[in-house]
Amino acid sequence: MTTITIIGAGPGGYVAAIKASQMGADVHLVDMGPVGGTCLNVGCIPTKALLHAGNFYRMASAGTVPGVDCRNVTLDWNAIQHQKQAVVQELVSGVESLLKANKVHMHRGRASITSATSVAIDSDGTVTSDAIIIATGSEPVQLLFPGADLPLVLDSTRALELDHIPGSLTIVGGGVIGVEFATLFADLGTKVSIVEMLDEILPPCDRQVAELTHKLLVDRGISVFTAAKVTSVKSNGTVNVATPSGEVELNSEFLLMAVGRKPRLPDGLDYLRVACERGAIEVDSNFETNVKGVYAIGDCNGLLMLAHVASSQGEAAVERIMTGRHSYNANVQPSCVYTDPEIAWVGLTEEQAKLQGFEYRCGMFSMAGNGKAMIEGHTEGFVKIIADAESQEVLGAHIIGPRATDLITEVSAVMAMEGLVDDIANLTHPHPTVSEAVREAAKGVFGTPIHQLPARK
Amino acid sequence: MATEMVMPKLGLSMTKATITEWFKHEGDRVAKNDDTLEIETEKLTYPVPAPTDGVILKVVAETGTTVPVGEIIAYIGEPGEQIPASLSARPLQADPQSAAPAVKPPDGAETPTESGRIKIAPAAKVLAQKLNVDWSVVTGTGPGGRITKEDIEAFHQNPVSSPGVVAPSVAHQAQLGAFDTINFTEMRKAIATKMTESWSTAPMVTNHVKADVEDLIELRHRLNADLSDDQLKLTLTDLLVKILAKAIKRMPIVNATVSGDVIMLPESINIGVAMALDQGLIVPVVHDADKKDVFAISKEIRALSEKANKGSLAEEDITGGTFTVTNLGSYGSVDFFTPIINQPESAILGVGAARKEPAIVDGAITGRWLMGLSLTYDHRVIDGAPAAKFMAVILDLLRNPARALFEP
Repeated sequence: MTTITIIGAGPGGYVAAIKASQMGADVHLVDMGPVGGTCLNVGCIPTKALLHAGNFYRMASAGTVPGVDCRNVTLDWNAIQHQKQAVVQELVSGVESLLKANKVHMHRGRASITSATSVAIDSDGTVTSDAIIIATGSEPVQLLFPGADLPLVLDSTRALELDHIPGSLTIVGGGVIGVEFATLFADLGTKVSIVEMLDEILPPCDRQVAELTHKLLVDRGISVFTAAKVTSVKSNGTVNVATPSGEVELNSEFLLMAVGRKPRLPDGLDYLRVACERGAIEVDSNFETNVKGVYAIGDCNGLLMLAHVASSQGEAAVERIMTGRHSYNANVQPSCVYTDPEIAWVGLTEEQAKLQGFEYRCGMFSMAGNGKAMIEGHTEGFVKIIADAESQEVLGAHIIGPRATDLITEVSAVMAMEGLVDDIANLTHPHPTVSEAVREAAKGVFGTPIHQLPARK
Repeated sequence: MATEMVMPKLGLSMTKATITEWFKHEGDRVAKNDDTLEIETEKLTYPVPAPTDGVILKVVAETGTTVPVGEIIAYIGEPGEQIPASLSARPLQADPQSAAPAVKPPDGAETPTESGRIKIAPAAKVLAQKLNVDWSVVTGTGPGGRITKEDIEAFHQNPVSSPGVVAPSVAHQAQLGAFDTINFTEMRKAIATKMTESWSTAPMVTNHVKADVEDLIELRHRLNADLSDDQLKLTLTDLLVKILAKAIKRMPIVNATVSGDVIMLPESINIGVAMALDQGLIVPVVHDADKKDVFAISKEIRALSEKANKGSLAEEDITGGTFTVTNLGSYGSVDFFTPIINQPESAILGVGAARKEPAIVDGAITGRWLMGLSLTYDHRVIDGAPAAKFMAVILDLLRNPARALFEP
């Protein structure tokens, strides 16, 4: 029987453990904290739980639905926090019982790799195995500027546990985490500022998506400073920001550090001479490190730091160990941002398509032309599909609009099957749904969407 | 430490084999020399015995994998014994990102045609049209055997399909309606390759003649009658092999082998005897048939046939032939046919059914045992005249079979 030791029980590690057990391996899973890792405990799940409440509150209190009067809507922060914790708890115990039912040996403690086949656990002796999968995840990056160590400077974990809704918040970093927290606290009534070092927020997004998001954040009352840097923060909450148009002074109850995450590495990598590149564990296309039999999946290999990607990589590493093959497709990994409206994309951005020398065509369709989006009061946003001009293969898709994160999978599926734009454009989509906008955008790549005025001759 | 079980080398020319079935699985206990798995080379399938007593701790190479000789295919030991992780964790398989998938993938993925439909990704189809690749001959490596862009690219760079086999066009397949497909086994691929190679290498002519085998059959009856019940009866093929060895001695040109720029005339007369197995054709060889007596030849052919049926022929049993005989007579349905030369040999004798037929002997019509003989020869080496002479020698020997068989 093949034995596999997995270090880290986050969305990469625990999914790999269950998969390995399903494939007939004897599995040891090691983690210091609760199962579910960052994602379940202090990441994806708790932030979305709070975002849901915040979004609901703003929708109600802002009178978003004409005719529905929700005056005197109140917020009970403690109840919201309680609900968030309840969801987390239920998911954690759900994962625990899945692991147990799959007969995964769970070890609580700090792991250090002592050889390519053995892992020492501080509380629990040493386990030996045929293969090791490192799934240790990542941790927030801390910037160093005067005042960065003050108590009012938060990381994302602490920002989720605040005992009250802050009156004001400055967020350092306009990436995915930054704009999600900005959305959350702006919904809750906090005066939010974002300070982004680059020229535009959401660096990994398609530029059109980032620009629209920027506008929508500003419309919601959030101050967005781009090409700007926090130079210092004082204990009284004064934040100094260097912007292209000069020094700006903000006053902020808290400052949230959201400048990104860096791989968290387990002990013993140096000893084993596992190769790392810029702080991340180097892996080949099978997620195997330079040390045979030692694999690294998820955030710790730095390829694409997303929970669902970690899960897929975990499954792929296990498949590779157990069968010699795996079915992970690096080109079809979706990304999501839980702003309001949501953002999701898969494949290449237009900028990447250009940079990589593709002859491409874009199709765009605005949510303003979609009945369901109009009903829901979300006419901002669009679907953009990028395709190879010659082969008509779908290269990427970008959605900003209601439930974009659910809609993107249609395009992922088509891309994974090496589909063409027409595979989407010819497919009947149910009516009325927001997904009709995806079909219309596909029609727009080489022709004209039905619900769009023809281009003037 | 667990014992390594490696891919055995079962013949001089064997470099790799495909695992067709594991009879035992991880966790199963095996005794030394138990048949543990079956492998298939280009020529044969063989059972592979366990090298030691113990439990199969790990199967490294799964069914369908092609493994080079000497590579580890499994570990056998006692439960709890350590297996080197670096090896056990690296099964012998291609990197899925870099595999050149134009040939059948190692997991024996489904064939892309199911009820006539070819599964191909839309973008792969576009690429195939651009590169002018006929995708009906490409083997898919995607889910469910779907042809991917990578498959088309790989095929375009290295257009190999099953050797010697040209697939029908898409249009042709479309008109076939529903059909089953049979995957080419290694053996069938080898047959296809050899036959195609022979067909395109040698300009072949076939001479036919009816031979009078009355005396041969009579002699065979007498010889067999003298044998006790537990002794093996002689077959017509046994007798023919001995007579052919004698005929070849007189006409050595039919024993020739073309090798590059020269025609080799081997001193040994090694006669291949074509045998039909369920899986296909195999040609075991009776070496030095001219130096063995007919009973030894008979015994040898019987042993080769048993080995062939069990799939346990050794490499040397099926190599080194200089002339082949193929007998379709037992079916009673063939008098003459045009056999294909077993390259690199230069001639092959096809044997038809022996029938009692009207013949003229001493001016009177009488019933005689006659048998069709068809000699196919490579006209690069053998002209019509020597071929006719060789047939005359055979007929002459058949006229006095006792002398042909027993005179030194």
